[in-house]
Amino acid sequence: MPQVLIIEDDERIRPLLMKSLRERGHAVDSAPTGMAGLEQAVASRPDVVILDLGLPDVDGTQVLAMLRAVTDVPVIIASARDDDPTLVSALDAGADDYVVKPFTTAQLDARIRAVLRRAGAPGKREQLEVGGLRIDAAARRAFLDGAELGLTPREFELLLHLAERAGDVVTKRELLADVWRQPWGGSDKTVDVHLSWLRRKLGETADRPRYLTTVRGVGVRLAAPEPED
Amino acid sequence: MRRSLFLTVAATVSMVLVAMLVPLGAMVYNLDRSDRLARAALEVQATETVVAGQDKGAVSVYLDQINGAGTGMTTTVIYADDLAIGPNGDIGQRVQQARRTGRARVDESAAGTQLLVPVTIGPPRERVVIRVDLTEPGVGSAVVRAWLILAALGVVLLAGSLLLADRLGRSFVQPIRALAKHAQRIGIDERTPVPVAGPAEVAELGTALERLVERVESLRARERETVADLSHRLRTPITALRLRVDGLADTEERDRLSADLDDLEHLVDHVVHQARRSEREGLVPRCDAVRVLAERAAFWAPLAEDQHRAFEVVAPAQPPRGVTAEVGAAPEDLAAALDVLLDNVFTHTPDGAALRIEARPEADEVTLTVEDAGPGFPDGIDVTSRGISGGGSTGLGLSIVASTAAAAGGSMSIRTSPLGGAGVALTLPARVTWS
Repeated sequence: MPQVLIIEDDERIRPLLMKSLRERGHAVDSAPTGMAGLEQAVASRPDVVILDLGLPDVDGTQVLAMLRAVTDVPVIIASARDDDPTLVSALDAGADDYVVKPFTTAQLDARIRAVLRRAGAPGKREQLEVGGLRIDAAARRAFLDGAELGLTPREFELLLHLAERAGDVVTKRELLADVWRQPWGGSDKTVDVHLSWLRRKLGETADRPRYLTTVRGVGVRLAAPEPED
Repeated sequence: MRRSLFLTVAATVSMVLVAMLVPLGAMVYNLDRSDRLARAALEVQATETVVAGQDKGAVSVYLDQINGAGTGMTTTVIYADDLAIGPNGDIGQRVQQARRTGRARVDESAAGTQLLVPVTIGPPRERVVIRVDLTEPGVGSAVVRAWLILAALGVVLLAGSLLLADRLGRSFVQPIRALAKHAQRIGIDERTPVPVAGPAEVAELGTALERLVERVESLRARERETVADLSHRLRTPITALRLRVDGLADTEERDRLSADLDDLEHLVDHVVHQARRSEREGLVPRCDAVRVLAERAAFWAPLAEDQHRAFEVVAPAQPPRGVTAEVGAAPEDLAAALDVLLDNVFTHTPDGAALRIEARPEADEVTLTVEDAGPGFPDGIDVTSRGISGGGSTGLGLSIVASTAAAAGGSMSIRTSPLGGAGVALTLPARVTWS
């Protein structure tokens, strides 16, 4: 049973989050301040940390830096701040993922599983391969048949997300929630246009798909192409 | 201002110089004339002595001698029998009158000034008129030299005062110009200290501007904090609600509450986005509308291709050999507005329907148009109203486009497109530059 540590000061959210994650099969611990969270992270060695940025004693990004100094436990930032500079600086400071409030338990659970999946494959932790497609999540680079793809950050996120679930059909709503972090907003067409760009960079079109296949009315699937006869 | 000061000083100093130098010149002339008349009187006395004591031959020799000295005056002696010895033998009415009345006179003549002095010699008593002709001072005379010196003094004084006025004007104008230039660049360039220099009033203006800029910046910083706090304050309780709703056992109730929370979340996102507008825009929002339109067209082109749509992009070439149309909107906001319009086309028209996007710069405005060959706007619905939409969405899209256009000082209009479907045009005031 994965052990989750929640560092969150809000008295309304913390117990609800603990309860809902417990219901989903996690062993959950929590701390209301940054310093208490740090102590617990060192003492109880959790499998994943959910960290709020707006803590009363120490800023969340400082807690993250201190955590990184003592442990490489996966950290998911859960914050109401959704501006790019905060997001980028948190990821640069060593966060493994970022979820913007408000989020659902299902989303947070999916992200916990994703970071645990990556953390649980030693050596190959940051490398994903789908056919001739190789994705280096740590370096944020992707290669097709050995040649590097020039992807924008968003395209890379999209490809990484689809590759993590290679073979599954992923809905556009899920992509909006997980890649765009707009679980209830955004437009399907935003996903479509990024998929069109990704297709071009993968050397395919909607009419002649290889890796990316649109399942009409459902979503999109990334899979290794069928070998040609 | 510098020019006005220059002209004012030029006019004032010229008037003062004219008022001073003209009487001075006249006075110099009169002094010279008095001096010459006094010398002429002495000449008359000397001649009278010769005329009284000598014969006419001796008088003639004497007159030849004094008239040849080049003193600017000639002396003629006219005897009672009208015999004139000297260069001017004219015996006119004035000579007759002087002889008859026995009174000396001074007259202006064509050559200058004429002095007629009747003297009585004898025995036998005879009235002789001695005439002295004074010629006007020539180019090399002392009077003309004095006039030239006065004129030169006037020119020097005028030039000096103009130079002084120009320097003074520059000392006023340069700090004001520097201040104006600085004020125009506020919000565009990196902030630098306001130049506080020049006359006290200008320095005071600079200090006031500096205070104003500091105040605006502190208000913007406070606004940023407020927006961040607003986002936190609104999203944290919604998160708690989300988690509570997630935990509900009644799926029907859970779905209904989730839908309500979806709407609330949309609105909160919109409020936060709007509250961040000034942070995005800075003090002076601006972007090149032609470039933004071309970039958004390029971004959406692959989707149009995948959906087999004819996608016509009509945008003038970009610099260095093209056109820019600077409008009063942040590039992110204008791009978001165009994305809403293009997204609407892709969402509400079938695959294969053509679309067209155009930037048409004119003298002082630019019109951005997005048109399609779809079914057009639904009848009887105001699609620009917030909360109303023909496509089942929240309807914030077109109202956001309209508010972006209005914030940039322009307007949005909807129409039927020549392609047969819907058309939306944004007309924005712009500074159009052709290169």
